[in-house]
Amino acid sequence: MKKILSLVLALALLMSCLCLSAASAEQGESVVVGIAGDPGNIGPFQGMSAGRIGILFTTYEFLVTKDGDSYPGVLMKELTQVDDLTYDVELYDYIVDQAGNPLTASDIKFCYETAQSIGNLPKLSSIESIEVLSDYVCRFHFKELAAGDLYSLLMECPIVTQAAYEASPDQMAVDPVTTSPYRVTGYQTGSKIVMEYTGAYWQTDESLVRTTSKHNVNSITFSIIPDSVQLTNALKTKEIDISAAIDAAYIKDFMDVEGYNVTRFPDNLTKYLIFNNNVFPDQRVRQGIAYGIDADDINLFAFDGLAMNAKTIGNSKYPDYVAAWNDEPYYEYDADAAKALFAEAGFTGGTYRLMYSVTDVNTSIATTIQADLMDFGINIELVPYDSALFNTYKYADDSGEWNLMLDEGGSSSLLSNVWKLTMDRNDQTHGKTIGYVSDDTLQSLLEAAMTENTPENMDAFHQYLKEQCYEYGLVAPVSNLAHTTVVKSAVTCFRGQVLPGACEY
Amino acid sequence: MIRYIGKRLLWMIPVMLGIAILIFSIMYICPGDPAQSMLGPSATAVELAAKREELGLNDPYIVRLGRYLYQTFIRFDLGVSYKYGTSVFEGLMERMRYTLVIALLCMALQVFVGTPLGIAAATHHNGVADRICMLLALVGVSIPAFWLALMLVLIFAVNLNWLPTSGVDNGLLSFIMPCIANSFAGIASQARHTRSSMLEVIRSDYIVTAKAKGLSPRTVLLRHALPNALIPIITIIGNGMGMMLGGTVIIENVFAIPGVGRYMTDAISSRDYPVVMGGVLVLGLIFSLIMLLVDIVYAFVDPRIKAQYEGRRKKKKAPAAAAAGKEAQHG
Repeated sequence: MKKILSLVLALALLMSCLCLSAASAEQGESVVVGIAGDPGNIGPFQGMSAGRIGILFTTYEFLVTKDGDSYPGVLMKELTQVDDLTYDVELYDYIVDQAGNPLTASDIKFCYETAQSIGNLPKLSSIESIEVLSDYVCRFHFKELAAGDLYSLLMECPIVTQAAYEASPDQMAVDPVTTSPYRVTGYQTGSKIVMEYTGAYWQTDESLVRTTSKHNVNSITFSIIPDSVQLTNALKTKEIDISAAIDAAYIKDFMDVEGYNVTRFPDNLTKYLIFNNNVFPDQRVRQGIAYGIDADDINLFAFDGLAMNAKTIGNSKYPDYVAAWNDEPYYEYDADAAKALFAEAGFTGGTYRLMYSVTDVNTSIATTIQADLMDFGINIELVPYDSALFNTYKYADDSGEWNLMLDEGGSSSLLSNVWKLTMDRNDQTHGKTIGYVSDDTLQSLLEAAMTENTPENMDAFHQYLKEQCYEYGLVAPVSNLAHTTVVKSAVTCFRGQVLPGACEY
Repeated sequence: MIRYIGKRLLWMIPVMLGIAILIFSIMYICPGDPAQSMLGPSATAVELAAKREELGLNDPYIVRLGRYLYQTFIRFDLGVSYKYGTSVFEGLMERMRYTLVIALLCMALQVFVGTPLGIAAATHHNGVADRICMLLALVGVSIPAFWLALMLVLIFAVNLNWLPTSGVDNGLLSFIMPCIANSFAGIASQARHTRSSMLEVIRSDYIVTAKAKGLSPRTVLLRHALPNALIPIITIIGNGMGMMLGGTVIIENVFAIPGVGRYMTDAISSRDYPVVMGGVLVLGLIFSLIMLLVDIVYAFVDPRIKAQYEGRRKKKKAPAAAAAGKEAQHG
């Protein structure tokens, strides 16, 4: 009896060991990515959100993707220019989606037109029409194209086959059928999205598999953890393997710590200060305030010294950034210069409202600005709003809600598009920039930089803006990608989001 | 009793209508542009205006309110989420299970921990047990749930690695810390109320009589004192359920639990009006039903209340029976 019992126990021990080893092998084949935003509906034509950005390139494929400064085709085999506003897009003729439907030019037309009609991707309004020329060639007619717009538009709309989209009972809200190498196999709304490698990716030529379509891991779980402290804790306890959403304040917890790696790279966002021109019409006062703010302080208090001081409204990540700006002076802290400018302008200080979208980082920046400007008799009243309210006041007519605005901006293509976000008066209902500036020179220089994106035009705008100081670049945050040793080498997309399929394990 | 329940259910219609009008008006006054949240910063003024028109946000207050009430109370449709593009009702139902699990587990903790603590404190009035229980209760009502939640995470998840930091993937383990954090104040409140209720009953004459009859202290406590002390305790439990449902809003955010609370806080940030209004309405309905349930439980716990319900019916029946008797006599 004892022998039998011992045998059973030994077998049980052996089985449990086998199970454990099997579990570890499986662990090596899967990765858990922590994201802070909830993507909600993961259908192809929904509006962009922080959560959606995190999963977009793993879930869907686009005509092109961005790799460094180039835009290699993913579904697109070739792009031919017909005239200034017309382009022919040729697709690979062997693309199939996860349900086996072939992808043709009519699917491209369907996707872009459906997205346009739903109206959640506003950039697509620049497309006049799409014409199907043959099974695998379609012609894009654009209404207008500024520099960088073409590829940005080809990368804006996720592509699916019409057959799969129409077969979906909920417009692919939870179970999209795409051409990506990963298929969504589980979606617990607000909690996690599980994707599995299909094992049969349509692009068999390895040299043509782009970074966003690589499939180096079999199973990907996106774990949605909105609280930044909890996201950090989840990485500490290794419940997640990698995250690009760790707050700058906590990233030091993983730097030089055994079992973790931190990869740092320039974020495409830049923090800047916008002056309300109705309140600060005097250029000398704006310049004085810029001299009175110490960007080093901001970098230290808000980013633990891990960000870069800005040299314009934008950072060096963009291909049209002019490297020479790095060596130029850009309102480095100078109390004497600030005082001199204030005295010259007859400015004696006062109380001003600094509006910002409330986050930990923005609060740190705003309080630093408040402390810096106090030395000059400028009393800053902090006005933090949630993002929806912040955006409402940002784009509204001047109601006295803000005098200074702490904002951030980035672009998926060019630096000139970052400038356009706040300084193109044609985009605003009130016909002025976000800071209520109506300056013909500024507008013409911006349009020149956008239509002819040459270093000369970029520099001309930059120098004029720096001189006028309608807006003042503060810091360019650095994205911090923290991961456990499960991930040997981390890869991100141009928006700084993890591409788990492209990472090395 | 059935008439009473029916009457209470009918009363819920104006209550729900009131909640709907109130939450609609709050969201209407609340600044913020859903179109801006949906389209993002790259949308131009024209695109935003078109989106607002499409969503019907340019219509006057009374038109929008009428449309909302018609859709909600005539068509029983809570609408479609601006952010997710999916049915609000389905979204709420999908998330409701997590919220209810947390709320029910918290309730269970409140009842099964708070009530014995209160009884222990009352039976050892002014003794060491009473002091300890009341100190715990004071600590419980003083500590904010989110702070306690983060402390629990640091101790039990990060340092000891016993429990998961967040999410719902680990079954019941995932709910241990959220439930403790969410119910701690409830346990404290329950203990304090049970204690005061029990103290009042324990000093009653019939308890003295029961003791004088030679009944064991346990029998006196469980069969004579506790049932009579239950009425205020049940009220606290009913209110507590409402507080637990409300409290999950914070706890779900801290622990990344995809419940109704998180759905609603996300919706508030993005001005997703249909989700906020639908969520408040559904939670209001659940709370109203719980309060009805509490009133029904009263009747079962306290025969005097049951007799009141039945008494009204008998009083109404009595004149009718007398009239029928007279008619029979005349006949």
